[in-house]
Amino acid sequence: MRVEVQHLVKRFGDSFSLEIPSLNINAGQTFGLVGNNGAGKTTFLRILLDLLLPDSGTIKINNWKTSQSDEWKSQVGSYLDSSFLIDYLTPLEFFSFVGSVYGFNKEQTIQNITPYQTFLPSGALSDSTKYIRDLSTGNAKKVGIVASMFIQPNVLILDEPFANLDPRSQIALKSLLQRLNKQHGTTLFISSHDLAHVTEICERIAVLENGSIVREIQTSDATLKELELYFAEG
Amino acid sequence: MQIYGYLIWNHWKNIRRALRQKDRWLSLLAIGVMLFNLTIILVFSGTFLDKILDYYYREFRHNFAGSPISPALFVNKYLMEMFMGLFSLRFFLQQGPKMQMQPYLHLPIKREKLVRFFQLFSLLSFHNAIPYLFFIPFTLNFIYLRGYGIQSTIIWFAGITLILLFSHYANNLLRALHKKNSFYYLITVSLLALLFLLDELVDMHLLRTFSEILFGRLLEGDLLFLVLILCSTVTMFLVSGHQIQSQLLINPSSDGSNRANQRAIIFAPERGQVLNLILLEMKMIWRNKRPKHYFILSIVFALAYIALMLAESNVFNTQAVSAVIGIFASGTFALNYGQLMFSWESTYFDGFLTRNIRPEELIVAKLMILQGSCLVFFLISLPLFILMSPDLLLLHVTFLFYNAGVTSVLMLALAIRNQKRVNISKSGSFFNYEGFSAMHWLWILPTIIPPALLLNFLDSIQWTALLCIGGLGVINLVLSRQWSQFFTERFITRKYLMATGFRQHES
Repeated sequence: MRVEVQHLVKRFGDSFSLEIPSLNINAGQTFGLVGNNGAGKTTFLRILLDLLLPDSGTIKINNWKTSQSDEWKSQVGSYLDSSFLIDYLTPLEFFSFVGSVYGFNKEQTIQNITPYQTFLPSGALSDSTKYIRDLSTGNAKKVGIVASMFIQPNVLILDEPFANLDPRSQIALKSLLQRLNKQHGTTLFISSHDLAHVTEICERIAVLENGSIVREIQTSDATLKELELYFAEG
Repeated sequence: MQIYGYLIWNHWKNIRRALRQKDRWLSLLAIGVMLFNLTIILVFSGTFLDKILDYYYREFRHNFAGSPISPALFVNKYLMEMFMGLFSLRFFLQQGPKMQMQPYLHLPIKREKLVRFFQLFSLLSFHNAIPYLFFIPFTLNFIYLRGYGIQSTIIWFAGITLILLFSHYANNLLRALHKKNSFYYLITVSLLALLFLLDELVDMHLLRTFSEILFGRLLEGDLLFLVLILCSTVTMFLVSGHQIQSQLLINPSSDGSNRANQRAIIFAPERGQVLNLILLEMKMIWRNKRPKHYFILSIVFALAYIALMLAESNVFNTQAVSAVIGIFASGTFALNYGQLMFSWESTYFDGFLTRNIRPEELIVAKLMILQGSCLVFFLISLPLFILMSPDLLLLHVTFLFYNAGVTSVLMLALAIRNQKRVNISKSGSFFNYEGFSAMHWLWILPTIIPPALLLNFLDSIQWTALLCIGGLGVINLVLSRQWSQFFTERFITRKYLMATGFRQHES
């Protein structure tokens, strides 16, 4: 499913503005967004998900304007931060709620989650377990990420998915993302500080700096070095 | 000593910065006006109590022989009830010292010293100062100058001070225990309510007799009673300090009570999204301290307060009081909870907006929860009306329709205006006003004023008044679908502002 950004402008006083004249991500493409702290990555993702209204410009997902229609929501999975978690539910209850929202019954939900079982914290799917609020930051994040993936979305938008995860989980997540992209043709939109992981997963990478995309790269073997050099030089 | 200096300095900075916060001036102004009003009332009562009692309660202040009882003896009888009332207020309004200690725990300061410091520092509270606005003029005017002698005066006043201190540390203890297990809190609230109701409704007068003996002996200059109170206060200081210290290392989210040992709830698409959202909100209320206590205290309030009002309805027999009884009997939860209808979900609001949840279903679910709560609270308080005041049953039914039809809609309108984040698991106290603003209090007035005016103007033809009030409710209930559409449109335009507001953490 295609994601299109046209003439996007969002200003925050005089200090910062996000300006993206044009960005198109084709269906099934894996797209990475990298940048320093404060570059505007999360703001951009919030606008993509219609959580923030831009001053001008349009976002279209599969030709639906995100600010004018809710149709796109049934096709998009996303996890930006803990505000996507209902933390007084257990992981299983949370998955069942998210599943019900997308029309999955309990059996379908459990069936869809099964491939993610090794990635999830142990016991996450048993009836008697901890509430999400009692999980560690990393484990709660895993629950949020799986909730965005098991619905088999056509577009998946993740913000810093590798941060706070232990090395084994980072590796597992990479393969889960690649599998979702290959098996379902899901378009991936991933923002991250982790250059190594992004270059490994994404076929196309954009560098965001002070609210503007300053460089776009088709990923190759030299991309990681190129990016490291770019950020080292500041 | 230097460390105490730093601690005091940090606290002073904290207070100054809190005062400088944006949007605080309106709240400060409201508090200032209330404090000024309270000061005038308390100082005036403390100075002219005999005249006030003669004017309003002439029959209460005379003994069997018909001669007046001195104000001091009269007050002695009610002091215990008053202290209990103040204690309840303390619990609802006064924060314990534990939370303020967290940033200092890793520093090389002995925990015992830290606890003692914060225990003493917590004494600087309005709750400890305000009673003196009454007690200082009262002691001078009606004890010292009425010939009780300097020793009696000092002992009585010291007794009052020690009981205030006892109450302060008892609040600290109860709050600390409450953090561990809310069962203690429920037991204490129930016991206080039961004692109060036994005294008021069944005329057992346990508290009054105890109060009369205790403060009577102090007034006679009995040092032994003062020593007993002193020992109780010191014990309470030590016990509360010990309890606070023992809990310093307990992570609030790891006390075991948060473990999901209840049966897991499964959300099924066949049920329909509205029902799933209602189920989710019910879980939210039951699993989070603040909404849960709003719910429980609304029940306590509906039962205890309404019982009191009904029992004393011959004393406050006005139409305005009828309106208040009617509104709060079935609408108390909707009024308290409804204003924060979206703020309750502020911590996961972004997730709500991005998932496949239709705004109209969200609004219908919210409206149904508010309307349903009116029915639940109608049923909870129904036995009281049947037992104590059957003549007010019709009023109760009328206000069920008014609350479900009108109050619920007004509260939802307020909720959509609200952009303040609420941390639902942070504090369980009823008067935790996080998420409220002065405007929200003012907005309660349009709910209460129309029925109060109707009842007042149509006093002689009360049937007509009740018909109008109930009719308004029924019309609004019939228009529920239209209201839902209206609020859905409002929600769609305001959701960005709400989401941005909900992301802001209060400092």
